[in-house]
Amino acid sequence: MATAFELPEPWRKSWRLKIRDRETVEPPHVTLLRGTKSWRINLRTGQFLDRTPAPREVPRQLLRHVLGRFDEFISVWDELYPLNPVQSLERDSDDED
Amino acid sequence: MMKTSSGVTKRSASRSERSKREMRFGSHCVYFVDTQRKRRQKKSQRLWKAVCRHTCLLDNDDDLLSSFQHASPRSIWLSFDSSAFSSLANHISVFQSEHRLLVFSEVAEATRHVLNVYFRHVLAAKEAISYLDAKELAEVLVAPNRADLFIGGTVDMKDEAVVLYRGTIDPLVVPLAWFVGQSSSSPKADPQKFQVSDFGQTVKLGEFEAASDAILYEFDSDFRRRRKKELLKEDKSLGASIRRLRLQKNLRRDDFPGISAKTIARIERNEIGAPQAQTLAVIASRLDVKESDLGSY
Repeated sequence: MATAFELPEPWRKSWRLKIRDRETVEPPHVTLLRGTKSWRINLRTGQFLDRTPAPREVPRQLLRHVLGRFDEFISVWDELYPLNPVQSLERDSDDED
Repeated sequence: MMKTSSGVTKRSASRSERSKREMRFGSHCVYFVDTQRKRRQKKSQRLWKAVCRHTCLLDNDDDLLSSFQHASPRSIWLSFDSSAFSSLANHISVFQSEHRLLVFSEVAEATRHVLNVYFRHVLAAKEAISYLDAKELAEVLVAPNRADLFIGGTVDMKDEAVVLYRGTIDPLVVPLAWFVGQSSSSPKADPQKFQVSDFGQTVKLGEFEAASDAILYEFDSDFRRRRKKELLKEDKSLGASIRRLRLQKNLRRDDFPGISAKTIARIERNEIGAPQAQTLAVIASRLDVKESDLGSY
């Protein structure tokens, strides 16, 4: 089931943090949404997938909060996308060389 | 050429007026037509308050006509009802434009035919379309990235398709069968409970949620091209593209008839410099894309 991760105040009202049932699968990521904008964070590297937002767009405190919860996101991602788990680049079970 | 009392010629005065109108109407892309002042009615207040900050108000026929003449292509008109556009018939002959119209009431079939002469796409709010709420709708319509956001849509059960409307009012058709999770723990999509949320960034069918960018990634090659340019670090090789697409389709490497999993792995790692045309044809067929699109993911 799509997961909307709860955020603390003061971000709870305007921000969303989600892993949905259908995402672009590669690379694994969690999406931070606010209004009409969103930012995807790579679950393997902790880096933004698209352009890096300015601090006025994404508060650094919020970002630190998000980066501190990666284990939670990884377990949700791996459950929703078993064919492309977060660890798959390191140990790809399809690689039968 | 006759001069006015201030010494300005009639022709240059008319040119100046035209320039002013061009500047006033050409700089917007979303217009709100309310020639009958319905925004003052109680039932219209909520919608008007949501959109007024973001749109150029047209409350008389002259301004409506000017907006139509000077607006940039693919501009959007909003209106409480379609009667506001009857004045266009007196001024504009048969004319196909790239403009779009969203009417917040029912539109009779005959009227729709007329409106389709002036507007490329016409949406009426009282059709079987589920929209974002007024506040989110207003923000999406003026967002710079509105083409990548959805304002609403509907499910066609007969044809088993979901029709989504982008912030540009362009439609996009997605097979209902696409709305399936890649895991047994994903809920089943409920087509009776269609909804767009998160300012057009999420499409919901009951408990099932799909990211709008995932939909566009698979069904809009122009979006894919733009997304690839924006990605900070991505392996843009053919092999990597094939791998991303295979994973997006929830396929394993041994899901390609006639091609071993080992060969697929080697292609994905770009260890085969130029895969045979026949091999790429099989891969493209299994991934349900054109061969020419294999490198675009």
